[in-house]
This record gives sequence, C-alpha cells and structure tokens, in this order.
Amino acid sequence: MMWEMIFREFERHKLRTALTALGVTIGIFLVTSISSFSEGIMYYVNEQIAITAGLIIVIEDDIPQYAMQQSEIDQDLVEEVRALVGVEDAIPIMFATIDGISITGTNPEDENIIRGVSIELADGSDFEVDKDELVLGYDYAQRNDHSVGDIIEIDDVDFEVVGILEESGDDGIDGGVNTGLLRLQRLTDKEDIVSMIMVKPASAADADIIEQAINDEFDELNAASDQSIMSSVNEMLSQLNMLTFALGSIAALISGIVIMNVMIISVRERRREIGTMKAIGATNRHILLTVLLEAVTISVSGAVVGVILGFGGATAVNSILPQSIALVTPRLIVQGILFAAFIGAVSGFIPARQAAKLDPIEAIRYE
Amino acid sequence: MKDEVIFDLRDVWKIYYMKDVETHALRGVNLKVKRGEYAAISGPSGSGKSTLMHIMGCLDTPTKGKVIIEGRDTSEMDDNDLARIRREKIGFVFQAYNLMPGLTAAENISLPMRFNGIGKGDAQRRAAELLKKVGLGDRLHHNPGELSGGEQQRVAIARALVNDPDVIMGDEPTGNLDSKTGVEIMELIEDLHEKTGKTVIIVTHDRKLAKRAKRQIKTLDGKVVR
Repeated sequence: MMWEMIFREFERHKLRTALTALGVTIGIFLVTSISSFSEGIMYYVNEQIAITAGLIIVIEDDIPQYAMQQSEIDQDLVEEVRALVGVEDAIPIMFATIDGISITGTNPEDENIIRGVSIELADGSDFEVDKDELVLGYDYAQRNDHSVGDIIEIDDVDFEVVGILEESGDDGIDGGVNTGLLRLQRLTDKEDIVSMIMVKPASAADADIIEQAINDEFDELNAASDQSIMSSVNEMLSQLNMLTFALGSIAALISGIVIMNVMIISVRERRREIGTMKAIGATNRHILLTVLLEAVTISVSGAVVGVILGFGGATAVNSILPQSIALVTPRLIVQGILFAAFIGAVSGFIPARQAAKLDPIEAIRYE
Repeated sequence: MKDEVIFDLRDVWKIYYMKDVETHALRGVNLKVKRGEYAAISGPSGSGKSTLMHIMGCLDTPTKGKVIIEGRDTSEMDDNDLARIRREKIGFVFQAYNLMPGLTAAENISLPMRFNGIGKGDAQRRAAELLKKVGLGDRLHHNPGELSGGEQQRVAIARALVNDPDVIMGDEPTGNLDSKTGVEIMELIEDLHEKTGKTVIIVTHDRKLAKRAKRQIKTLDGKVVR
C-alpha cells in the first residue's frame, strides 16, 4: 500500500538500509551455500542408489566410497564371493582414468545387470571383452562429438567406438567410456585386479545378511548395500544439517537484533512524521503495516542478495571440484527468502507496535 | 443544516501530569461550533487555545468531560473511529506544515486518500486538481524541501482538503511565514470558506489575524471567555 513511503525512506538512509540488509545477506549466504552441499549430496546419492538399487557394492577395505578408483581387489575373490550362500551373481568391475578419460571395464555379458535397470544402448552394439572397442557415455560422446565408427586413441592404442549409451543422468556413467574388463586390465598392466565387485543377492531381503557375511569372511573387502550407503550418507547429512541449523539460528538472531535496533531508532527519528500520518487519518494498523513491511523488505532484499551469492559460491566450489557437489535447488531459494521474511516480521514487530501506539499529538510536539 | 452544531464541548478538562506537577490546560470548557462558521481561537500562550483545538480535532482526548462531534460522543469511540474522523471530517493545517519529506507534493496530498483505501491513480489525479486550486499546478513532483514555506503551506492546505472534510483546522497556520505570505495563506483559507461553506477554525495568537474571523473565541487560564 505505502510502498512509495517505504522506498523513499530507504533512499533517505541508503547506507543504513544497506548495512542492515547486509547482516541478512551474510546469514542467508552461509546457510544457502552450506545447505547446497547437503542438497547436492542428497541428489547424487539418490541418483546413484536408483542405479545400484538392490545391489551390494564391494570394494577394497579402508577405501572410501568416493575413491573407488584406488580400490584394488584380487580377481580370485570374485569367484569366492559368488560362491557365498544367497549370492546370485558377483560382477567384477574396473575403473581407471587414462589420458583424462574415465574408463570402466566390465564383461559384456554383465552389462545388462549393471546398467540394464535403466540404461540402454542408444546406438551401435556392445564391446567384446578383449577387443579394442569402446561404448561411450552419452555426455562424453556429445562433448567430443563422437559417433559409432570413430577411433579414439588411449595410451597409444586405437580404440573403435562400437556403441553409445542413452543418457542415464549419472555424471560418472554419462561422462565416461566403457570397454572390456580384460582389455582395461591389460591396458593398465593390472591383470587379475578389479576395482569393485557388484553383488546381486538372490533375494533382495537377504542384502543385509550377505553384506554382513562378506564383511565377516573377507578382511580385505568392504561391502555396503545401497541401504547402508544411504544410512551413512544420511548420518553425515544430518551432521551437516545440524551445523547449518546452528549457523542459521545465530545468523537469524544477530540480523534480527540489528533490524530491530535500526527500526527502533528509525521510528524514534520519525515520531513527528508518524504523528502527522495519524493526525491526517492513518489508523494504528496503517502505521503498524508500514513499519512491519519496511522491516520485511529490508530483510528479504538482503536475503535475495544472499541467495544469489550462495548460488555463485556453489558454482565456484563446483568448478574447483572434479564433480559437481553443491546444488542450489529452488527449495533452498524459497526457504532462504521465507526465512528472511520471517526474521523481518518478528524483528519489525516491536518497533512497528511502538510506532502504531504513538499519539497523533506527536505531530505538533516534536519540532 | 446551517444551524447544525458540529462541535459540542461539555465541561471539558485537560490535565497534564509531569512528575509531581499537575498542569490544568483546560478547566471546564463549554463550547458549541456550528456548521459553516469561521472562528478564531485566540489568547495568550498557555491559555489552552492549542489544547482546545487538538481536543476538538481528535488529536488529543480530554481528561474529563465530553466532546460531541456531529452528535456522536467521541469518548465512546476507539482509535479507529477517531482516525476516521481525522481522515474524513477534519482537515488539519499545522504551523510547521508537517509534510512528509520523502514524498512529492502530489504524494503528500494524496496520503489521506490512500489511507481511505483509494488507489494511487485516482488519488494522484485528485492531488493534481487540488494543487492547481492552491496555485501550485506546476509543483506536482517537487519534494517539500524544494518548496518555499508559503508553497509548503499551500500543499498542506491541499492535503487538508483531499477527502473533502467538513472542517478545516489551522494551528497557527501562518506562524512560520512572513506577514505578506501569511495574509495570502489566510486569503486562500477564507476563499475556501466562502466558496465551499466549510467550517474553519483557526488558532492564533496574532490579534489582527484573529479579527478576520467572523467569530472570536478567547481563552484565558484554560477557560473560554467571551
């Protein structure tokens, strides 16, 4: 209603308004950028889980999940794992990065189990296990403008592109290339070594038991079902969320106090103006809303800048890291702005009520 | 309707308490003002003339006694009712103009209309019309700081008129102006009184100014004397 009054007031006190909003900006920036990690991790984990749903991931013990490329498992163990009770299949997989290309090596007959859930060949056919053949991830083919029949040189060997996968949505699969397990083992001089074993339980309900059995039986292996990966991620996220919550509360408290303080001073300075407004017919509610709206506007504009900075921060972090982790989702943006509106309304309430209660006679008294 | 009583004050007292000192600003005032009157309230400073007008204009409330405006007892009204009276029935003109420094002349004038829930466009059109009427048609988008005292008071008069009130109240409206500009402002107010028949009540300590009014209300020691 009285927007022009509010904005003229900001114009009159540009620096004061900007500094007040800055408090909110810093708070929302911090909360948004930290939350963007939780959002991002949650997003990628969910995607990963969708692909490996029901499977148990086995890697070398003491290697963290995100460093799978360093995992080295003796290939003989694949057969031993497969022989365990309740295991339907155990699939060896090797990961390597050569000449900047991330390569996954598998047995072609296993391909449909690994990616059969969601990813089909968009073009061409599968590779053979020991030939110099590649199946490209969707993004990799797009980025390098490759199609079936092209030749790609890896470590001085000419590989032929025989197939291209459909888009999976997973950065690891879409951004890499696939070849035969044996071919990759030879290329890396690591015959009889694999990075990971994907275990498929005969019954999905037995996943926990099999995971436990592998961990008990083989000291050198670490098995994790999608469920246990999810729960460990959730545990980490809940810690991150607690940090965000603590930081957010402190930021809210401080910026709320700053806004309240500035608004109380501003109302006191404008006693005569507010008195005049009442003398010419403004109701208590008019005054209350005007001051409240002023506080909310300061807070929300601070938050908008904070969210933009948070978005920039997340983008900057992603550009440094090998894989995009931070993700600023619409949910985060809306949350940040609503949170700021709430801070503004709460901290503006006391000054707004003081203003509303002023006597119209103040119009004459303070000259 | 000419003889209708707009203001009916019955045994009105106003007592200010400051620390332990009681100040009796009004001591049992009885006063009736009829629609269409042009009255000047005058008296020495401290005689209660301003307090009297503030109470008549619902800016202030009496400690004791009744103020009846158009037949309605204001002591039974809440804050919203009083604001409505100030907004719709009375137009105030202050000594120090009291314009909002951040708003343009047109925005200042339209403020009481905006409080009445009228849209910006309509209010601005009415403001432009009134600015022309007070002789400042070309000052629509000027801020009060860019206007002279006399011009600011003209804007204030236009603001007082915007909701077409029954009464114009001036609290020393020429007090901050030189005598020539003061006379011009009084002529403007008197012209409104003549042409629209609005009730005009002026508070002044200037005897010459007070004499221009058709009715003299004199205050002394918190009482109205004849």
